[in-house]
Amino acid sequence: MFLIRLWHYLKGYVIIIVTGNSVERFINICTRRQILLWDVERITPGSVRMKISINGFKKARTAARKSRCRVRIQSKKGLPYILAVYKKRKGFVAGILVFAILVYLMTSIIWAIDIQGNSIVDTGVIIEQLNDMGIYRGTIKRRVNPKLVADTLMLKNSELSWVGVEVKGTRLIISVREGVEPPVVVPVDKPCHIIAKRDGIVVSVTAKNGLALVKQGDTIIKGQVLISGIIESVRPEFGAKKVHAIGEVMARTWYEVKKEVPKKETVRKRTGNEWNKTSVYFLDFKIPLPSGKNPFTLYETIIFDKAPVIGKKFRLPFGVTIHRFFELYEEERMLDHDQATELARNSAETELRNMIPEGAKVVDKQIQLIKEKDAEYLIVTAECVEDIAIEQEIGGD
Amino acid sequence: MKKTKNRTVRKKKDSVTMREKVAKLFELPEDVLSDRPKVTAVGGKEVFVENHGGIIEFNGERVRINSKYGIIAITGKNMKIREITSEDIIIFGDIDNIDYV
Repeated sequence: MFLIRLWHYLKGYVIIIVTGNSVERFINICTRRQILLWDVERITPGSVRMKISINGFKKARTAARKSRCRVRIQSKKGLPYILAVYKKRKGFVAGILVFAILVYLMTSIIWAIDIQGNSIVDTGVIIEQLNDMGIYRGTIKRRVNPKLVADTLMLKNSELSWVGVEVKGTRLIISVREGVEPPVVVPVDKPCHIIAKRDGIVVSVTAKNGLALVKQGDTIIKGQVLISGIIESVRPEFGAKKVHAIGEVMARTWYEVKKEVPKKETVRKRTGNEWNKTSVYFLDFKIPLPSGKNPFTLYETIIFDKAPVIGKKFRLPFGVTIHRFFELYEEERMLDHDQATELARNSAETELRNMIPEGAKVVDKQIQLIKEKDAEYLIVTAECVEDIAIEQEIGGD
Repeated sequence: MKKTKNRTVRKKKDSVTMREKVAKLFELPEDVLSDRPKVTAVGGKEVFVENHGGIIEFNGERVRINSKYGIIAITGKNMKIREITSEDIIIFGDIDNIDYV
C-alpha cells in the first residue's frame, strides 16, 4: 500500500470534487477509459470526492461533459507540483546541480598523497615512482588500483618489506614497512671462513664447524680469519677438506669518542618579536600575499597550513600557508668547568651510543680528561663484548 | 477469515459459455477465463469485485455494482471506493451485506 501511495505521490495527483446527479456515470466513463480513480467517497448526496492522476484528470474533462457533472479541483498533491515551483527558479536549480556535480567531482579526485613509515627509502623516490604509474595529485580515484600500486612499489624497492595502499576520502595513504636488509650470507653448501668484523681481544671461540685458529686472549685485527673453513688432513696425502665454517667468536672491543670541552656556549633566544608571511595555495600553486620584507636578520621559522577540512577525511586542496618568523638574539655564556664537562660528556655519550652496534654488551666505560695546549678534551671509551664473526667465502679453487 | 463467493446468478445467461468449456478442457481454474464476477470479502472490511460492469449506485451506505450476471449490492457504513479500474473495484468500510439481486 505504501509503495502505491509513493508511486502516486511521485507521479502527482489531483483531489477533485465531482458534483452532479449522475456521479456514478462519471466514474464508469472514467473506468472505461482506463483512468484510475481511488479513495472515492461521497461527501454530500450530490457530490463525491476522489483522487485522480494528472494525466487522468486531463482525460476526465470529456467524461465530465458527457455525464453532466461539474468537476472542481480541491487540491493538487505530489512531486510534480512541488517541482513546478522550482521551474521558475532556474538559477537555483542549476546551482544545486552544479554544486552536487562539483562535490562529486572534487571528492572523486586524490588531493593528497601521504607516505608513512619510510626512513631508508626517500619519500621523493616513492612519489616519483607513483608519478611514473600515473598517480599524482589530481588523479581520479577510480584509476588507482591499490593492489597494483602496492605490487609495483614492492618490486621497485627491494628495501620495502610491506606496502599498504589505501584510498581514504580524498587522500591516498601509502604505508610502508622497511625490512632490514639481510647481511650477505654465504649459502650453506658453499665453503667459507669466519673472519673478524673489527679489532679486539678474543674472549671465547665456539667453532661448530671448521677449525678455530684463535684462542682466548688473542689479539685480532679486522679481517683476520678466526675459524678456517679449510681443514687439513692429518695425513697430507689426503689433501684438505673445505667446509662451511660456523661459529661464534666473542671478543672485547673498544669504542672511543673525543670531544672538546667548551669554554663558552652560545644560546639563541626569541626576542618575542614575530612577523607573518601569508600565502594562499591551491594544489601546488602558491600565491604569496604582499606582506613586505622580512625585517629580521636572525630568526627561526615555523610553517603551517590552514586548510578547510570536511569531516575528518576530506581535505580541500586549497588553503593558507603561514610562515611565522620569530626574531632571535644570541647570548654568549661563559661556562664553569663542571657544566662544560657535563655538556661534553652528554654529547660524547650520545655519539658513542650510535657507534656501538646492536647486540654488543657494554662492560666498561671510562671517561678521561686531557689537556692539549690551551684546549681541554674529554675522551669517553666504552669496552664491549660482542660477536665479531662474519662469514667470508673461500675464493678461488 | 476469507471467503470467496462464486455463485452464478442465473438470470441473463444460464448456459455454460464457450470460455468456460475451454477452461474445463485445459483444466484451468474456471475464474481465470470466465467473465462471471468474482467477489472476495476480507474480514468484513474490504470487498474486491472482479469482472464488474460499472457501478450503478454509490454512497456511504450502499454500493450497487453491475455485472453480466446481475447486480451485486453491498450495504454497510462509511463505505468508500479505495480503487476502481476497468477490471476490479476495491470497496472499504464496515460491510454488513453482500447481495446478489
